[in-house]
Amino acid sequence: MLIFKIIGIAFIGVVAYGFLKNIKSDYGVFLLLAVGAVILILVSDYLANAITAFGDISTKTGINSELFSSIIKIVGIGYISEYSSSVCEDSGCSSIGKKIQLGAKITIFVMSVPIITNIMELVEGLL
Amino acid sequence: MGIDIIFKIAGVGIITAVINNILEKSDKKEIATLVTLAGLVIVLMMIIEMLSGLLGSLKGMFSLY
Repeated sequence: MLIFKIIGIAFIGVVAYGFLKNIKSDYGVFLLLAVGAVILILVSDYLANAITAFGDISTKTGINSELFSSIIKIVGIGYISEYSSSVCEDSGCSSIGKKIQLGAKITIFVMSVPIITNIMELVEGLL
Repeated sequence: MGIDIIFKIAGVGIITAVINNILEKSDKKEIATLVTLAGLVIVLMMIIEMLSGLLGSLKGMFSLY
């Protein structure tokens, strides 16, 4: 199963990080980045399958493709910002990580405007 | 692309630490600094390549342009 692979990679990364931190602490950040990237690359293949399946569903049901793509974008922004902000926090810059999260929140808010206007138009049509 | 990059980074770190120790013991501080810098650049190159691949694939997947 995939989750056991991820756990194994994470444990190996933790051991290597503890090892490297004692002898040469400059390499710790790189190791953190690499472990995160390896895990995400492992998962991304599965994610691509799921996203294409959702796209098929949305085309079959005739939902506006613009809305669907903006929802997918919001999900992607959430994942990427989570990864990058956790890397920042692990390497001792938690304030920069918080800024990344704030930026992601603002971006998501801006991107959700068309969805809300769509709902408003729908309500207007019903009334 | 897989777990070997983690071992690669750990290996580069250990090797540069050993070389650094030897050079500092024999009073060659400048060369030791250069060795540290070279190791950092090597690791940075490996990481940047992988990260750009990851971010590019995520960008394509979520159609974030």
